[in-house]
Amino acid sequence: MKQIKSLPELVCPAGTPSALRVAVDAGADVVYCGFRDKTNARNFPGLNFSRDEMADGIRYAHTHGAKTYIAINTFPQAGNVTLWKQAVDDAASFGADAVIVADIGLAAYTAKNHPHLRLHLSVQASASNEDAICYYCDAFNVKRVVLPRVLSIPEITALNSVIPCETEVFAFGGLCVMAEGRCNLSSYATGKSPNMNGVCSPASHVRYRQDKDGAMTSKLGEFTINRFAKEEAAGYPTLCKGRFRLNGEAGYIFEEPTSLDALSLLPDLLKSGVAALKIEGRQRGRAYIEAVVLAFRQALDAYAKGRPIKTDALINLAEGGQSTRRPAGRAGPAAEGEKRNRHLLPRHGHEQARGQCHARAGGGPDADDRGQ
Amino acid sequence: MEKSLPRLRPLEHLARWTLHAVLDRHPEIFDRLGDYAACRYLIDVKDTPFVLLLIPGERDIRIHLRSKEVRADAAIRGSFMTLAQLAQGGGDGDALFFSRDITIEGDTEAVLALRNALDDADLDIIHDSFDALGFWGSPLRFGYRAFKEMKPLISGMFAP
Repeated sequence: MKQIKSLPELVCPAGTPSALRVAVDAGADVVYCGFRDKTNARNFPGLNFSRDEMADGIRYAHTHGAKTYIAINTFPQAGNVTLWKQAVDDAASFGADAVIVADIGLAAYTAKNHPHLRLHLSVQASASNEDAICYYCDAFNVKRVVLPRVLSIPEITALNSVIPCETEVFAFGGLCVMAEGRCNLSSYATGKSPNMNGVCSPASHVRYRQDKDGAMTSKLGEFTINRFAKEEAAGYPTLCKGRFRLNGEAGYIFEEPTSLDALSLLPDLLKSGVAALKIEGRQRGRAYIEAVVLAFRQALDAYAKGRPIKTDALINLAEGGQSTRRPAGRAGPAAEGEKRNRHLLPRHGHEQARGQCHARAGGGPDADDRGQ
Repeated sequence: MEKSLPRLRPLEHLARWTLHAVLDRHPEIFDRLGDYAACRYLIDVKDTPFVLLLIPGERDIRIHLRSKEVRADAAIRGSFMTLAQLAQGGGDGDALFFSRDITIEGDTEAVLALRNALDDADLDIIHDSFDALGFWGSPLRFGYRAFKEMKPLISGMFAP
């Protein structure tokens, strides 16, 4: 097994130039971001970088000793691949430190046309086993794979011992039980998907209604996703986190609104041999990015010095007010999240039960997340 | 066009002046809005009797009593401090939404675009306003800074 010789890279999100500067200043080793179009999986209004902003952002990062990875991680559409190829070309010309791609054709294009540009495989490619990852490494000289969050820490450790490239895993952010790059729920409900259009539950199809009793109803397209009672913590309006009625009982069928928080799992994750920890949330604001980057930077520094890791710093940022965090020293289910989160997969027992993400290192069931 | 009540005019002038002071320092803010610049945003400051109507494309902001029906494409509701914090990037919009400190209605995409545009702008509304006052802004800035530094001391003196 690979032993970590140094701390892993802290890979942080930025949806705007301002967020990029905040991430770098807060201690990110790497900032990942995308162009302002459908070539990246966070294609939201008002978000992302123009060409000039990207060039400036890369310069800022490099000046301050940080790297920039550019996510070009949606799937080019038939007859319309130019936009994606241009994005790779521009990333190379701006001096990006790596591109993160999902599509096999775009990986081939990058390897052939920009052999010196470091190539990372996006989580959207859903490469989660030795054969798949080795194929990408052999065929396209992929240097790093972003692992799907359905893997447990023992699975990550096992993979790291047999694949020829680095691995990057998600450490904080939104949760999702879906196979990334292959989820069609958003497309089913709205006609738009994260895979092709860069948007999961596009805001153009989301509506909220505030009721007189203080409750809030969220709708995605034609579907009512949830109804939150007065003062109940809310979640994103995604179908996978909808509250539905089944056998006469209303509840979360797939997943509850919950965030991934792997701060308490850092020692196990680091021992697994991962090269980088990724924070999800290019769609979040500067305040989120600063808080999460600082918390993880401090946690990594504490780990390196043999000090205890502070694990309760980020609960206020969690979706639904609950996360997968578990108290220090406890190898069971999550803390904030445990009150409603645990029952999900054992009860419904579907295929994703194997996932329960990195949080399973201690043996307890937990939840998983999505997106970059 | 809806007209505000005459007694709200001074407040509206102040809000408009502040908006222009901010836009003078950050003329690019609304570029990120794209087509959403034409939207009418209702900003409901829940702990006041007023609502603000922001129309980015017209570089205009209007003030109405909450009791008046105002036509808008999207509405954002929250306390004064929460909304001010959000406008300056000091709070995470998603987290404030999860905790129900802010609520939104209407065109969600327009709200998202505005949030992202403001978040990128790195605003400091108070200091932008002082800057717009030119020479007269200096003593105000000094007073404000002194107030901020003294505030913990003053609070400590009256703490139980």
